[in-house]
Amino acid sequence: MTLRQRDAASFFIRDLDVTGDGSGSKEMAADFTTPDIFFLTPGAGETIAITELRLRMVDNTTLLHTNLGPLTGAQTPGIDIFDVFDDDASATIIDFTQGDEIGTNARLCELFKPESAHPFIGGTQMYVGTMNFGEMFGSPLVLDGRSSTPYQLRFQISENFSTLVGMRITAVGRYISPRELQ
Amino acid sequence: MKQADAANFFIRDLDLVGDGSGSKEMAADFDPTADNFFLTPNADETLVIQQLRMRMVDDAAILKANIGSIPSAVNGIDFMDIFSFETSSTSLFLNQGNVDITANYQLFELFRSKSAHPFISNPQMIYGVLDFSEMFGSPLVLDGRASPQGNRLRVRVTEDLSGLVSFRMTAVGRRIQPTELQ
Repeated sequence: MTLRQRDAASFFIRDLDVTGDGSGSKEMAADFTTPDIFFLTPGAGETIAITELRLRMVDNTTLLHTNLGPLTGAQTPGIDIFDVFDDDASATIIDFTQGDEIGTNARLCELFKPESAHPFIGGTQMYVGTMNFGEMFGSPLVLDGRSSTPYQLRFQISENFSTLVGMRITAVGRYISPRELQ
Repeated sequence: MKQADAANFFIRDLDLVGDGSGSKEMAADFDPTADNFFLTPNADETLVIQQLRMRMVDDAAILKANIGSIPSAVNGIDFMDIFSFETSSTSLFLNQGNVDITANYQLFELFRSKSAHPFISNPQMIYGVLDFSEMFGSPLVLDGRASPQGNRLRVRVTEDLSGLVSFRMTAVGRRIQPTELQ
């Protein structure tokens, strides 16, 4: 592997947002009684290799594993879409929820592996988890905006999360060139 | 790397059937009638399993010396193995030499624990990752094209775990093409 200073220009970091290109709201601590979808969509002509998703949930009170976000108890429909989606073909490529909505924070932990230290807090009012695609699936997630049918990452919340202080999901990875695609 | 790789990502809870159609919930009564949770590849697919993820949830503190919430377990999880239905043999007992797992701390010999579980003030949830490459130098390959069914991953529970809120194991990895096998 050749290392170059200019590689930094290919680094990618963006919160999922309701538009998909980074221009929409990124804040998941809101009322989604009317469901909304947070996307990551590659721009036309760009190909992104997503290494990791990072989830951060912050509350003013203790976050419990048996709740979903700040809501007491298991929730339905909860987080009912978390997938990679081909919008042109209207097809789910991989469903991270396995067909069941995510109804508790504990289930979020299955996907977003808990990190061991949260130095900003003395209690349990913040949760940070990572979902590393290479670790889980053997390769990063590639979203190819050059493809005629680009994939997008989707995360739909169908609950009222407005009492949270903040909740975001950040995608990190890098832009790759066509010659890096097989 | 290519976008189409996402279609090969694999995520499935172990279940009583092995193909994802059976019950995935290990928080049930398996005493005295034991039951097996499987991960079985379809006849035409080859799976590369990167990780097995374990999540145990209770509504009371989960103690290290219990199995689930059961103290003084006798059989517990009496084997975790890679079993060939073709030869009716086990190629690897993950619980070394088929020693019963009768305490939660024994689970952590297999499932690397994350040291903090920030949703909780008491340990009402335990979460661990068994990473095959990290442990054995390569992922676990389950080849459904082998006759008749190839190998299965199998976990046998022989204890009443119905007092738990939830207990599941999730396999993550990817499907590969025969040409990728050596």
